[in-house]
Amino acid sequence: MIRWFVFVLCTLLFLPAVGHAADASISGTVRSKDGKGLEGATIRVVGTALGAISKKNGSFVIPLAKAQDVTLNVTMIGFVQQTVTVKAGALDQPLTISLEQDMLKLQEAVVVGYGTKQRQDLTGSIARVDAQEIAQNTYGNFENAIVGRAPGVQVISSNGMAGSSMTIRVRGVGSLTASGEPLYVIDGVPVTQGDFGGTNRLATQTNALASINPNDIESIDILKDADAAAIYGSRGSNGVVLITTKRGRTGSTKFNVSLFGGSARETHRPTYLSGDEFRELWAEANRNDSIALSILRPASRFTAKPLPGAMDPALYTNTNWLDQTMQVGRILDANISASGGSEFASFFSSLGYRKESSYAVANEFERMTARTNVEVNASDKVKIGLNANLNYAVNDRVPVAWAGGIGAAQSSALPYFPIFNPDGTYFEPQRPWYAMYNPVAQLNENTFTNSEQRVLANLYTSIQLPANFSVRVQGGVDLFNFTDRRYTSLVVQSEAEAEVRKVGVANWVVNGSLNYSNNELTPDLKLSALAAIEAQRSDQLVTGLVGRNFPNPAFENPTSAVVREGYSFETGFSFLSFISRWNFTYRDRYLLSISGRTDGSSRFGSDNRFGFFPSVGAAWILSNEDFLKGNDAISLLKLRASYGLTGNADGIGDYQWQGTYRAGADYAGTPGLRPDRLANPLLGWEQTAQLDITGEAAFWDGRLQATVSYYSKVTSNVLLNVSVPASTGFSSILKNVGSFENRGVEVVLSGYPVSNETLTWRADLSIAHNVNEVLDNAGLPPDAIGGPGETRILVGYPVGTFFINRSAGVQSRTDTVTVQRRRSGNNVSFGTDPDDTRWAQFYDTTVVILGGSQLFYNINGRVTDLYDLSDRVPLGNPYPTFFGSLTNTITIGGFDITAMVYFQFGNQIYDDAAKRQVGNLASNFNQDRDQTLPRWQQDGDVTDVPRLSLTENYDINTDRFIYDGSFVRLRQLTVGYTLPADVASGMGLSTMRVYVTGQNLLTWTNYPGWDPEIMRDQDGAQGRNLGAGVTYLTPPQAQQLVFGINVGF
Amino acid sequence: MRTRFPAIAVTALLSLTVVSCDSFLQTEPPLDISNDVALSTPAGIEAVMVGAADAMQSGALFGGNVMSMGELWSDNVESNVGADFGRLQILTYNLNIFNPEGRSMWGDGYGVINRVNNVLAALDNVPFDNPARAQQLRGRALAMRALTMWSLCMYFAQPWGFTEDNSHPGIIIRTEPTLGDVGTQKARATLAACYQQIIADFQAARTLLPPTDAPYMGSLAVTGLLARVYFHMGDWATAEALATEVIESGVYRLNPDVTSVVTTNSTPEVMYEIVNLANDNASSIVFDFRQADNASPRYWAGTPFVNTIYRNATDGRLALYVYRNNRLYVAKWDRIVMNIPILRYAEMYLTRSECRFQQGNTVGAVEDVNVIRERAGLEPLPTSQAGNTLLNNIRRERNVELAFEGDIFLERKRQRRDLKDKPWNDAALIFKIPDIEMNANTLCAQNP
Repeated sequence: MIRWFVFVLCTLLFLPAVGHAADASISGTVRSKDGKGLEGATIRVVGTALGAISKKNGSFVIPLAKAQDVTLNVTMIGFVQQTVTVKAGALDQPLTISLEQDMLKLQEAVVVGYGTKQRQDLTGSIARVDAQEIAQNTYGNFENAIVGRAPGVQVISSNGMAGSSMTIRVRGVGSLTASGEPLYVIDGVPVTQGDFGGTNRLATQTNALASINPNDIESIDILKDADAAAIYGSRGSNGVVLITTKRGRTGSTKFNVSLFGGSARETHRPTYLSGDEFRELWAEANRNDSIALSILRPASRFTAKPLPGAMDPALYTNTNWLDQTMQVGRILDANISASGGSEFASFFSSLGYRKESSYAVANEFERMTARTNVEVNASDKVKIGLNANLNYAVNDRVPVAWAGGIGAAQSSALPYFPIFNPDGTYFEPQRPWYAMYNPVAQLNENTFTNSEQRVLANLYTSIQLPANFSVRVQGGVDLFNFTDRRYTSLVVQSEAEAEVRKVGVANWVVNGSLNYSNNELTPDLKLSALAAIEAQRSDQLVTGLVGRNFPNPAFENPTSAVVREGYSFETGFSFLSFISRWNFTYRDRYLLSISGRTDGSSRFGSDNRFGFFPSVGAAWILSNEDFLKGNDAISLLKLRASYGLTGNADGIGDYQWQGTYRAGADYAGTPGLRPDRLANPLLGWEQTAQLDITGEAAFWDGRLQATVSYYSKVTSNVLLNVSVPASTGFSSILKNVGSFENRGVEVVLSGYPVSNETLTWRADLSIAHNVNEVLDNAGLPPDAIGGPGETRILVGYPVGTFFINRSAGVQSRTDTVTVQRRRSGNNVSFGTDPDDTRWAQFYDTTVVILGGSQLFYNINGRVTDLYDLSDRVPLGNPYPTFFGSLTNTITIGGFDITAMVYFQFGNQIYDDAAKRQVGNLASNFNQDRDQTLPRWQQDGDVTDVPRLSLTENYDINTDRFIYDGSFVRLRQLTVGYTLPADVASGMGLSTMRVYVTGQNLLTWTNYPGWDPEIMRDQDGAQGRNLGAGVTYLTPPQAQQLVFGINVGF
Repeated sequence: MRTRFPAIAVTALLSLTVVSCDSFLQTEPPLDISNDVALSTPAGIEAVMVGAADAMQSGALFGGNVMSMGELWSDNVESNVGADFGRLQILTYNLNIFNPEGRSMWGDGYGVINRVNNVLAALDNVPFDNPARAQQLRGRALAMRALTMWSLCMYFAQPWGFTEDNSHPGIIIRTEPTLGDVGTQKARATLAACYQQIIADFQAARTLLPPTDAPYMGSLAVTGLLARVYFHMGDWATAEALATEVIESGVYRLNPDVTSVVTTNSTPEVMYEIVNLANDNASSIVFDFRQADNASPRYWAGTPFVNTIYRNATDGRLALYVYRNNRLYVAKWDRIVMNIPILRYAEMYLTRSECRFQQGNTVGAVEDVNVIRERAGLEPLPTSQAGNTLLNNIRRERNVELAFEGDIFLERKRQRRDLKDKPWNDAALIFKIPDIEMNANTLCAQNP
């Protein structure tokens, strides 16, 4: 296959170029409305191949073969296209062409996958983030640039650490057990994405896309509905993120230097008990237990529980472990790029460097990138291009949450522990969980470094053929090389341990497409069509070596260890696809788009190897109808609707359909095999049928624009591990059985309340509403599919609803109370069906309840004193019912101000650590100060925090720890100043802008924890889908303040 | 040249598709072997056979629980199981479908059965250069299936004789490998049908196997296990004949010393044992009983058993116990890595002794039981002994000799005697069919 591609490419390379000669000419200047010369406008002589690009002051000259009447078509990005007719006799008079700023952007080219479309021709929903918006993002990854700029697209950082992973949900959660992340395509190459840091290490994940430099990106187009995404077939269900990198434009070479630096800190820090407070509360808990025992079992003798750590009381101190493990991070980001072009070739070339540390001590991310994109016009019909990108990134990772670091500092590192012993050695209350008691030792002595080298390159040739046909052939590679180095010191662990782990992913894709485009198929009908074939293959190899116990502590490479253990892992997949798309436009007002893709994949079962994903979209541009044409108020009125099928194939593990045997079933020293998996030759993609209905309107030349979309996405054939009878010798089989639904509304309002020569004010409001509901979970019992923090998949509830006991408050004073108890006390949930006869096993009884005791509601809604897992009920929604943003951009004189407020409402957060950190000292965790202090202390106290105790089991999940996760946050505030053009040119520059940007400066929320914007990313795809509303010591988002300068020359 | 471009492009595109589209999408997993490959050669079948033996080695099965769970139900054992969920359910007669011991025994048991069924199916299709080897593998597979089914019947079904015609539910009979999601639901067969299958498998294995086949069951071990089955069914004559066949083969002999069968692996007395190695050790019974370096293991000998064994202070088998803290700890399962005897020669004499007694041959019965008594250093019973005195002595001897090896659970049910305070046929003396079966098999009846 490769051979064919090379052959075609070589043939195309040797096409002869065609030249031409000149006699007359036309010249002029292109200006903006305020009179400035516009550089880079394209002026084409209609009906010929002649044209020019305006120079720095806007001037242009086009040589003509002979003096004649000409029609010029002038286009420039961001401006309304203009057509000017010049008589033959007027050719010698210089023209002045004044372009109007394009607020409607109807002619803007939107990347749609295997091509582009003008915005006005769209029949599907595509959100676009452009280079200017991307440039405002000061976080290290491009995903953060999407936050608040793509309606209906939820983008969340796992945390604010350097190099953190991201999650994106397009119009709601996309899967149950399989990946819910969109497909990322960079310049036509579906790239390697996700976490390669190994499962469950450090309680965080890595982000393969973090090595991409956001500064190289021209646009991010997010395909949201079936009309747009069906062209990516079996991989389009979760949306597709199309990334187009920057291209050179014809004109003089421009250099651009951008530099910014600043600081990063956590958005919010909760307070925990001091050492003295912890010891006081510990004593109070012992007192409470003593009193309780004297009431309940007067004959028994009370023994006070000693403070954890069994340490010399002389060493008691007050250590603020968070101060020891957190810092103010530093950011430095520098980019230089050059771009330009002639009629023969254009190029964009850039170098980028970023180094940042985060609020977490010892956490650092460093990235170096280089990119060159070149396109050569080999002839007037043939274009050859190369996009090449080299990336290198190093990430010093630190543990968080249950793995230590900040997570230990807020929990298991108790505040009365000192950091050091008097002799200067690390304080060590107890092995083997030493690291969790002294995170300072852990951060100082251990290292965990990832490095990533990546080559992304693609080569393409496009040929204009006669009769409106063109051909494009493209080949791309994404070579991803990832190295983990881990060292755990002897100081922290009884045995030093080192590991080197290498992950290599070789991913290539080849495609060829035949395009047809005819604007006048008949006078009223435009047609553009595409037929394409694509093949992709990705192979992954993981190898590693672990070493334990070193002859000298100076060794940090496993090879030098006494005990060594190697391993390797391999996997891979392939796709073969056939793609077609047909767009009809009738009389500029009726649009029809039909697309289809057939995908075959190695991941699909042998009896289900190919899937077909069609879509149809139609639009009616009412504003082009005669009855509205020329209406001064209404500039655009468009109705569109689409329906189609997409799939989710990226969630199916490689080879999962095959029945297999696995090694390792040895007996008596003889190696043996065991059956590992049942075959499912029908295994396939999850399928989403999506309906999208959208109305678009613009008034007063785009001064006010509104878009309202309704969508309904029903995902079926959802992959679930369905139980098979154990008497088969297996426990489950992966099948396409479940279904769920996302439906919602997106509203976007944007406008220019003021737009004149001195002041432009643009306001954008977007609100997305999504309802998610599980329709079918294959009848699996509630505990069959669980996520972190007691999240479940229950029919009629949102994905990842909490399945949890309800607190009935705290008994105010010791008294006899009638409670309902269950006869047989087996801690088993039967399900959610209240009519199940097994529930009918209750009796009422009157018992003495001590003041300060936790009470519960049982499944019948009656108060009970006994905690029973059978009393769990579905509660809450981890996904917001509304989210969106309000962005105001004001340009006044040389100043520009951008303020983005991001908000989300209606979601709940289950704080899985709160049961150990709110009034539960027996957990040996430090306690959340604000939530613990209002505890029950004496009879008559009314509170929902039970009396402190070291004997009661408070390590239980109840709805006390479900919090409202709504928040409003000032996501971005930027103030910039651009030097006047004459001042800049006096300095030899074309542009110069200085700015200050703050990210996440302010947050309004009722959530008492670190940060309401959470994404617990440690648990793989299922955990991500279900655990959207769960936190367990999850670190907060980052707040950044940076100063930057951009210089162009 | 120009006009040919569409032709070239189209050709190129078409080639892209035609070039072995199937092989491009068909990939073999690098870390696993697909079913077809795994069982396509004699060597592959051998490896799956080993995998089946590995499943038997599981602590949930013959690595321990098949013996120790029954002991826990009986008064041979007293215990402190702490908060162990599964064992507490047994002790409190509050079993449910989630009992971890029941789940793992059922799951692992059928793991064995599915693996041997795969072997048996493959043996029908793959030609062997050495047909005798194929016969041997078939014998191994059938013997493993029969022994596993028998043990599952003991724990998940009411015993033989619970109904007159044994039409009560046994277990699910699976004799075909499960390869995909087809026909996975199946009802339980009657206990009679289960026994029929077990006997047929054992009988077939007897003819296919060489006399010994360590570390697997040889034909003599199969004969001994079949004797156990017939003994349980009360078919004295057949059980006696089978035991006699083993005894007269002369292949096995009693160890002179009563302790060496558990202090040393593979002694001449052992007819079938599960082999554990330091790097492949799955025994769970050792975890329950081991007292050598554990001052208070969770199982120890119960008072009735202590009274039984102390009736003869000269019993050499007392060397297998340690008296400490007013408790008699069991030292039979005291090596961290030890082979687990599943069938030993002593049982042949004890079985034949009662068979002879039941058929009126008291002299022969005394003769057999005395072989065991004398080895233990006890006075032989007088040849004149008869009646209930003799029967009780034979059964007492059997309990002392085979104590803590799982025999009492079978014996009490066979003898229709109480296990602690529950009658032999009480529903609380068997596991529930676990959730891992019930959730996906609507045809499977639950134990009451």
